[in-house]
Amino acid sequence: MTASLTVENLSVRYRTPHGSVHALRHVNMEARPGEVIGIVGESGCGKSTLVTALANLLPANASVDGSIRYGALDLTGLDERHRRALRGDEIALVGQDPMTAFNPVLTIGDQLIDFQHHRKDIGRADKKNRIADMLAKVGISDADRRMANYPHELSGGMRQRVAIAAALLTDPGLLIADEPTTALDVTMEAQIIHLLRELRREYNGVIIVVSHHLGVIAELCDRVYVMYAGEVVESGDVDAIFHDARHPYTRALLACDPARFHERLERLPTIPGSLPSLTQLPVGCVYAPRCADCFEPCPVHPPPVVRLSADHAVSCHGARA
Amino acid sequence: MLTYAVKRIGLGLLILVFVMVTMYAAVFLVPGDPATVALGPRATPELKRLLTERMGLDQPVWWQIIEFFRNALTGNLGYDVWSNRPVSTLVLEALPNTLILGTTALMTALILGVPLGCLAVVKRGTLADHLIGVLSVAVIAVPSFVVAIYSLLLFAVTLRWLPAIGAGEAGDIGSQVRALILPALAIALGWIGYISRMVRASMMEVMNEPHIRTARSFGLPEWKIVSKYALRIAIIPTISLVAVGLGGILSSAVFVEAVFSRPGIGKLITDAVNTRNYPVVMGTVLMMTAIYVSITIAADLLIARLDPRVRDVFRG
Repeated sequence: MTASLTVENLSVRYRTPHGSVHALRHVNMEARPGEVIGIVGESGCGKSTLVTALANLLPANASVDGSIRYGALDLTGLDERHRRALRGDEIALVGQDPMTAFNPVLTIGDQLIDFQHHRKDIGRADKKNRIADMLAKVGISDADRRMANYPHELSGGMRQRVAIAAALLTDPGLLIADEPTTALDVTMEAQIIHLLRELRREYNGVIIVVSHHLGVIAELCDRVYVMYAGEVVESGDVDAIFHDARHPYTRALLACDPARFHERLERLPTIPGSLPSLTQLPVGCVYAPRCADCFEPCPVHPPPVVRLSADHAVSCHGARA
Repeated sequence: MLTYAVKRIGLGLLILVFVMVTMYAAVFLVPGDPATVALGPRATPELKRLLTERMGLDQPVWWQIIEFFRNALTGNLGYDVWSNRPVSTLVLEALPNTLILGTTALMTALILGVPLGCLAVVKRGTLADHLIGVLSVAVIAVPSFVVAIYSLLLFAVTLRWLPAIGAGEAGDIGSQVRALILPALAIALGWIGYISRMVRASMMEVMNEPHIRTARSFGLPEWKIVSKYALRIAIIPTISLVAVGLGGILSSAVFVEAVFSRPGIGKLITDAVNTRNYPVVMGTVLMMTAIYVSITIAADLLIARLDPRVRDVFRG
């Protein structure tokens, strides 16, 4: 099945002993089949919570408001049994760290066979054949040997390929890659990006790529959502975000990307200040305390969502003018 | 793997030698001449000399040790001072009873302890989890000989459901099983608690590992995640614990066999110590140590089999 994903007014709150953490606030998002969506932001901005909510893997102490619609289904309203039925079938997740993503005491083949447990219609031998085909597709040739291997016998890059193969094996309509290259070295990262670019040509579901690496996002995505402190501050197609960013945070983030510097700098630029505490949020714009362009309404009123074009939207008082 | 096994067995033999040397040193250090103690103050010097010679106590200690191992290699563990029967025969007669008792106790503990630990993980934070926790700690705290005495009073003396002493009639499986229940329970009870705690603790740790999240993200059922993905890892520390604890099981067998007057290694060794029957003590200790060492090796090999990462460390 391929369907669009619509996230409306999604808020996620974690109840903790230190009070309630408002990890995600009023997030709106849309993805059509065949699109690759990028989610970018610094650590702690809510990227992982958003992904976890989409994959239906939020912990028990999380409470969810708003809706995540996938086709005709509202994912937030499902009971655990139905959620489980979706996971690994319609929705697949490629995790952050390929080093720890697989069970260390079971062979790759054993795990990949288990991961196809939704396919009741085919036997073990067919499942093995599908694994071999899929491993070939992600660039692993000696599939039989690899299936008999344990995870620690594979390199990091190879494991991430296997993780991608595992996700694709389930024929998901929604493929989520949570920081797919963060744990890899630069060469491996380039290879995995190349692989994902290849794969997206023949894949027609929704792909969501989460990263704090702007280069990865620019290489892979059609549209980008920029997150800050649990909110989407700017969204738009990849060109608009990279060449015509309107939110001061997006601009600051781009200015900090080391890949954009053509000369050696004495000091790398940084965004001064740090993320606000998610237990006590500022009244107005969440970015106001760190914003260089902050003016009178910013600390007092939450910013409006300004639509700059059909696809480009920004939450900023400054963008209204 | 083979090098690893050979290394482990070599180390095991070294442990055997070390234990026996310590045992001889202990005998040597205990005040009083064993022959005098055994025969009483009124024995004639000739009789004492005879007994000392028969126990080999007139030789230097190092010679006794060498002699002991040379004989042990040919299957001769010496002779009972009083009955003059070969120690190896005595040990082999008593061993099956103890092995049956120990194995039954261990199996009971595993069969009940592992699922209880898993259940506590699946139901973590609920009343069932807390109840299992409290009961586990309670049974760990009670020594096995206390369980033995009270269960004997309750089930054998007051209720008369089960026999109080012995190992059952020879050839009558029913009576042997009935005689096994109370002693096995006395040993197993604390271990049920240990194992369920251990399984729960290591499984809780495993359940937080990222690969469990992966398994969940593929929608695998929770029971499969617990019983296959988590247990395969969580069982490893439990196997080590059980292997190490086997010494404990064997020593509780000594008490429990004494309480139930059940023939076995435990009873053999207690009687031998009481009558200063050194050849029997030595032979039995050697046997017990050999069993203990082989089970530890077996456990290590089993762990290497279960965990491919360990296997690779020892390959090469």
